Amino acid sequence: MIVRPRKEDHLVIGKYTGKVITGVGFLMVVPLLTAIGFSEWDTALDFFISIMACLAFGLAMQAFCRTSKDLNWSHGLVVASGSWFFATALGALPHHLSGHAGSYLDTLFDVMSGYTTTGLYLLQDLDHISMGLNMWRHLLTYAGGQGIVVIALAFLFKGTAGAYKVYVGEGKDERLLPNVIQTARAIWLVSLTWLVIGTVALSVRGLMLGQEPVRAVFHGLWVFMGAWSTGGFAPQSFNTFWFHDLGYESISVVIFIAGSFNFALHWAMWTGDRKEIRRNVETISFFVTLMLTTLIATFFLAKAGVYSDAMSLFRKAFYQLASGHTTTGFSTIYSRAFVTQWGPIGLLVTTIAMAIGASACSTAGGIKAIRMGIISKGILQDVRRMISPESAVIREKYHHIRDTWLSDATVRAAMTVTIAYLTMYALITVIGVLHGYPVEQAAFEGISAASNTGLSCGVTTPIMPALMKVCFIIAMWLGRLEFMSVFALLGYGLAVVRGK
Amino acid sequence: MADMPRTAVSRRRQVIDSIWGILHETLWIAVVSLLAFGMAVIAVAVYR
Repeated sequence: MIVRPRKEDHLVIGKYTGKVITGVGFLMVVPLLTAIGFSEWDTALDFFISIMACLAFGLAMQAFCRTSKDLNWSHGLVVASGSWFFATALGALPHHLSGHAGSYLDTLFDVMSGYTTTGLYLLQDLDHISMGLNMWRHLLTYAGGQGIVVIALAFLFKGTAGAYKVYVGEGKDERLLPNVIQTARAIWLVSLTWLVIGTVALSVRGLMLGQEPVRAVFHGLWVFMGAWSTGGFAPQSFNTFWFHDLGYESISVVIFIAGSFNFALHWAMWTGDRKEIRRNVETISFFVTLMLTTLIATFFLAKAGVYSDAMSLFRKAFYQLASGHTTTGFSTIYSRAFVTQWGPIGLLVTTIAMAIGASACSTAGGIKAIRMGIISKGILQDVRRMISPESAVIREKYHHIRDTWLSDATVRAAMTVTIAYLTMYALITVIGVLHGYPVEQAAFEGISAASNTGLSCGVTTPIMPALMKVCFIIAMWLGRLEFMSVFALLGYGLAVVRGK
Repeated sequence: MADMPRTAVSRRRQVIDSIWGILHETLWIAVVSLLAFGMAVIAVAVYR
């Protein structure tokens, strides 16, 4: 029997959703100021209207849903997924008002892509959009990478015990510090420190390449935001390919691989435990799968003679694979080159890299390296049990911040989420195939969306069928929130309708 | 780090640890990139 939610449940969910949407409204002040600074009055008006819409919604929700009740687990999950839904619907207003989108569905696609750090886009004439809208696109992806709920936790929530439940609902479950609000602030401390370092490095490189100072700084900031959040948005349609520069590519590789690390790993490294990066099951798993996929792609592309020298081969193969594996989506080749030059093997290894993804509790998507590591250890444990005497006690350990004994429950939990991802990958591929795309291209593009990567082989365009756009939006949402909170929202909706 | 819990570790020590942490992370990424470059050199040499 499904229990129908009571009025108090609606009030507590409404109150905290309202807080998060109010936070989105405050976030829009940054692009508003950017637009005013560059005398983009039409864009400034778009953002003013959008801020008013967010504040009206957010503050009205808080005013109508007054309650002193704290969040429980199901509330937290519903608030997280519901906030992402409303934040996408309202965050799409500036895109829609700009006139650069073919339809409101396209703007929803772009905003969900931004929040989920995917990086696929349907905006038209991207190279000529306003500075204000560009700031909003990149801020979306930077905020989404850290988690829009984490922003609200860090800056808007007072010390509520229920805060941890919303935090978990957003697909993060590490406590860097005992208090979840301090954890959210620690995540922002790491991100903002890297923002300063990365933006300075990219801006200096941009200046050395001959960019005007203002453009160099803004491009540096935006490329940093796209890289660190493993989002893949950039101010140009050709993203980092536009720069044609080894230095710019190298800096962006460092930023997006660092961005794909677990925040708990950053925190351990920053607090003196520098061996953690060599011992952590996630970094070891990521290293192994990145090296294997790069090895296959490198030897295949060398055999096919696609790139003539080692440096070109390294720059192209490693960049796309690292970008795919960290679920960033920056690319230094043309989209169609995945099909015309890389061929089926190249597409396959890149798809595998995207499907696996990087670290949990990071800005990255995909199945996650920790699950791959745990499943591998689980298989190893079973093999050792099979070849050992029956009386032998075989137990594996894995290291993630601390040593932990591998339990059947841990392996089962990792397998459950992995199977959920694989099912979603299969479904999104079938949807692409049913719309007439070749299977390898449908898998590449669908998995790119579902793993929140954003690499494209040319399928994602404004003329893509509307049903595919809707499916990609849902896949991005599910992939980023790791299923549970979206299922909780659906269950909540069902309970309202059919509960007793 | 104003909102972090106060410990016996000084603010200066925290900043130095953070810088070393960032440098170690960058070094790890550099080593991974170097290995990938090594693969490219070998692959080109094999198929030339």
